[in-house]
Amino acid sequence: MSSEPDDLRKAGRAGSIAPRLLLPCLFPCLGTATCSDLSGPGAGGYVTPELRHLSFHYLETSYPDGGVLSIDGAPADTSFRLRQGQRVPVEIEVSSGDREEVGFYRELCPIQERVPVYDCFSSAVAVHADVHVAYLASHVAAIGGRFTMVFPRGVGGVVAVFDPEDLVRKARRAASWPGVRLVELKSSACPGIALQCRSETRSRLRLPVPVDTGVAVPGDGIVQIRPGDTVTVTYRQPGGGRLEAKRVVP
Amino acid sequence: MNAAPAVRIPSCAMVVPMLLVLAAAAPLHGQVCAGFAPLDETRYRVAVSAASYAYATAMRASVTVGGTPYASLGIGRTRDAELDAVSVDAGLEAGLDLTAQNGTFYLCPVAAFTASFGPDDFLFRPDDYTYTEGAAGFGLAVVPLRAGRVTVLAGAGARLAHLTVRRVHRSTEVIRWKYTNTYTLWSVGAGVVLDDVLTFRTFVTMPSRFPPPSTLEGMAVPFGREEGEVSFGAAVGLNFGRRVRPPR
Repeated sequence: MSSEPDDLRKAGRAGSIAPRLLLPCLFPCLGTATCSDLSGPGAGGYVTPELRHLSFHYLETSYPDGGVLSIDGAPADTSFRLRQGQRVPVEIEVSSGDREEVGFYRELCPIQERVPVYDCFSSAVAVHADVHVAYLASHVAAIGGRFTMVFPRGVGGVVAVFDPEDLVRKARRAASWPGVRLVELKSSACPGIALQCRSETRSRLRLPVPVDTGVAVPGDGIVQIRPGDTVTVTYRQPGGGRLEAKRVVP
Repeated sequence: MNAAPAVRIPSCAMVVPMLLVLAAAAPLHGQVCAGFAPLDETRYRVAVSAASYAYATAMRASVTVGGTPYASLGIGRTRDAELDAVSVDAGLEAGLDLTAQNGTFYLCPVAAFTASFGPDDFLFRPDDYTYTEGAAGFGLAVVPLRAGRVTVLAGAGARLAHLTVRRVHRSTEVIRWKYTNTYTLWSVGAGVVLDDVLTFRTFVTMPSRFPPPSTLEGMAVPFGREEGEVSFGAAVGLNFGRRVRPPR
């Protein structure tokens, strides 16, 4: 065995420290370079812009059980752009005891300004005539979503996902569900290339949060409500003030 | 059914697919001028690279054959994760590594052709994209350091690229939109070569005059092809197939 290096050197290949020392690093290094995305989660974290508007509304279809609290916010600076991986923290408090800390994301995607916009959280699903969209409830739950709207006669519906990452990929997955005829990304207020409109609305923030009826479980990411509860959504402004929106559960 | 007329002005929906292929066109660069070890002692090189664009990442592999004149065949894949948009490409590049001053300075004229396919069904629209790009340019390189088994290369280059983009309806195969553009791609690369065998290189690219103001004025183009947008990449190359030198 001890003669191997000499043999190799004679063959003109041995002094090659490179393959021995560096090849093991080759693919891990490249993998790191490939996987790092300058605009990805690595650049994320919480940010707290000044908001001029905060509101929420409740959407319920009962497919599957429970509904969705859709929270909307508008930064005072309309040039504000939330980056991928960034979130704007808001607090949800229910008078019966539940309390959740969640993070706004953008209302409109993608981050590229010149690509047609779509709702960061929602896609529309249409099913074949012999299928009711409720049939897809388990599939919707499997991608971490809920229906926020069901069309008349169950011919389709709007699905909201609670994690906006990979919405397009999830929508493609929905296209392969049994009974699905068509999937579309949900367009928002500024279709086409209405650049002025887009510029103003691209700063908007949104977050759908799942809502169930029942006993409060603080911190589980689901808002538990009961009839008569008061739901309060609070945003702490960077200057120290608070922006609140309240509603009573009927 | 009548064929849909071609649209002259590209819509925003075209931009992302278009830039997928433009990103893909970048990696096939000159050899020494882009920081790779010259093919003096060996006949072949395989290389893999990764690049990070503003909204996309790319991976590709290439095989290079030759010496002073060389040819590279490469394949690649570029992906925008947010849009779930992918394009694959194949490219052929040929060039010369002309050297003076005993291998210290290099001039590298280069020509390349790339064909890219995808993304398909972009944002659920029933259209597929194909791209072709021809490019020609040159690079300059210097070897500032040779120390034992380590050689350091640095280079820069520019190439003029002519791009043709086609959006084809998936069912009818009608070309719904066709677009051509010429732009300049600047690049800077540096590499460290060990034993004249293994190269680690990094590169930076930046397009200019893309898109031309007359057609896509003001459009912020992703995937590293926005006017003046800098993209970063890294590559590893392995030379092999040692040349047999006649005994002196």
